[in-house]
Amino acid sequence: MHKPFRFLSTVALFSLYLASPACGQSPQQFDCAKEKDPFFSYCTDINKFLSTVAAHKDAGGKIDRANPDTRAALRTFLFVDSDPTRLTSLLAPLAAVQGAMASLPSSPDNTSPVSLATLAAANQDRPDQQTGASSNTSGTTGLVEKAGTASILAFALESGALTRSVNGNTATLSGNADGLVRALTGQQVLCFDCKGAMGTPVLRNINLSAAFMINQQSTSTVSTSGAANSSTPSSINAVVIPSSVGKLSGVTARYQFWNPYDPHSSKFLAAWQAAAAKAKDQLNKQAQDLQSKLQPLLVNRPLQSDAAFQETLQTFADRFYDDADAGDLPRLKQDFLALFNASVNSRMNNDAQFIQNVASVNLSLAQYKDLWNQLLAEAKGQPLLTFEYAFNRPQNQPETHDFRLILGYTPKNAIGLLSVNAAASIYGSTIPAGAKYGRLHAGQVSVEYDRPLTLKSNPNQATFSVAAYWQYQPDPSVLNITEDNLVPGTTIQLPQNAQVLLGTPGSLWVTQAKITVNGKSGIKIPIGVSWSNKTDLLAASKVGAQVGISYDFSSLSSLFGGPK
Amino acid sequence: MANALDLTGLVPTAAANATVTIKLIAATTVLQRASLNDSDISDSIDATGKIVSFTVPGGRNTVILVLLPPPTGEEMQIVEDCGGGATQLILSFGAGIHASITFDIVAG
Repeated sequence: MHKPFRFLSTVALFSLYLASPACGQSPQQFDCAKEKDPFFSYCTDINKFLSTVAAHKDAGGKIDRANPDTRAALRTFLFVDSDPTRLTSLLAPLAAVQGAMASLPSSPDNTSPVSLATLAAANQDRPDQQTGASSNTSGTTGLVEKAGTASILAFALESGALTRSVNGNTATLSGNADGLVRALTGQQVLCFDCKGAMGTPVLRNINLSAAFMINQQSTSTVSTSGAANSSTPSSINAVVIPSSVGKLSGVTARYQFWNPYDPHSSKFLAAWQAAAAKAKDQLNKQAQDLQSKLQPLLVNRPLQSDAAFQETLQTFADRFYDDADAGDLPRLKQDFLALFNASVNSRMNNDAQFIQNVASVNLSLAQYKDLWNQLLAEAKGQPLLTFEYAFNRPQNQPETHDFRLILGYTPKNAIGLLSVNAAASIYGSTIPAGAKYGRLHAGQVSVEYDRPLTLKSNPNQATFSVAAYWQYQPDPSVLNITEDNLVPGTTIQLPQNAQVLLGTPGSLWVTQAKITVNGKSGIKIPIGVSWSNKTDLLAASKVGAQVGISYDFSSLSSLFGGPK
Repeated sequence: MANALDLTGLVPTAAANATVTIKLIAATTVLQRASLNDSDISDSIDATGKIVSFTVPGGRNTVILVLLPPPTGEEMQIVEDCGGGATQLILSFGAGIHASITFDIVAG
């Protein structure tokens, strides 16, 4: 009974299958996640073209090339500058390299857009970034550590101690693991929509830094080849020589924990829109700057009136339709790459200012994207918590391992940032037998409030900070004794692990007021004054001053970012 | 209101001094600035941040739109708003994050 019905059903389904324009299959698409730039940047638009043309076939099964939807989808990638900042960010390495080559014969030109593009400020007014050394180094301007760091790389040079008795100079190099990997592997960092634009999971939350005491010599002991004259005692068969003029004083690794968020959720989008509304004036100013840089690049281009290039575009348009009709995706990709190269080469050959204009746009784009990133960070909220591990090698003192929790909080009804630290420090190396101190070095709690100062000429020209720090040590500080510590003429033979206790156990209080001037090109200059009831080695109170300079290299992304 | 743009070719065309209304169709992206050639026409962006109108002089004109994109990619279309709910498509982007858009209009 059921056989005729089953036969008819099969015939009907087969007929429907044949009658379907695409034979029941969804249109062929590129797997954009597997593509590389420049094709990757246009991939979703090309897929949109493929799905559009699949839906607009004529009676013969060919693409309806007169259909307005197919033409609109084609224009989006046929004109490679339909999103001009997409094109300029792809050309960033070319612009940066050509700019660098052009400036080789002379000193860097600080007025050149190309030079500026590679030196632009990206995060110059953010108070939540830790670019300098920690509070327990001999050269630091920060009493409290911040939750964030530079998105790629930052360098800081600081002078003046806060909790230490010995004043020194410290150079600190810090950066984000994800930003560094992306920059060094040539992945785009200027773009809004490149692969992993939101960061690589895990790596994006890891920040690393290394601090160097630059006024402290490292030494090594070497055997001599014998006395050079008769007045030299023959017992001298080894001497200490300097091996470098700087010494690694500490390394730090930190991991940021964020509140989970869904960028597609209505709650997140509402937070995004609120952040954008709050920054309306800044956005408008930065967008206006970008607009003014796009105009020389795009308006009155010689290429617009070049008949040969217009013919080339028409030829490529026909080839894209042919490739899509044939379902030949490899050829479509090959044709697009040929179009991209032809378009870029034609612009470079027809417009002497093209690279300069690309660099100008990228300079402005870097600043616009930085503002966009700030809105994103605000919508995302502060890091819930940052955990930090630091290995410290203070001068003539035992090594320590420091474990710190850092909390950043932006009060809802106030301007500024509150940072809170809690830390524990333990001695690292073996505790000598009979030592009069334990493994625990110190516990510490500190808090800082940063408030941007608003001036009419520049809304984020400076940041004022006040901070308080409390440290408790169960034992006095430990000083390693070397021959350098002995009074001249002393003939005592020191054992290898000779140590003395200095200072007093108990509480160490420090307060600091600081102003950080936010200069152009990512430069910050912090200047602080502090008072402490004692320092690590001395019991007397101390009034000190700290000064530093830091540079955020994030804008060098224009030098690194771009096609692989 | 009829359409001002002729979109049968690769480059949109219009009559000289025609008034063109451009509309951004996107869930979250908004127009931040707009210019026609070297002239800023941002004041002509409507309160929703989605529509801008201008008059095209004779010759080749370049429209530049600076956008505020959301943190997530979205499909986006640039259309001519012909009035009465009618539109015609100029550019059609797949899912992505775009900070700017440009296209030319040849008026004559």
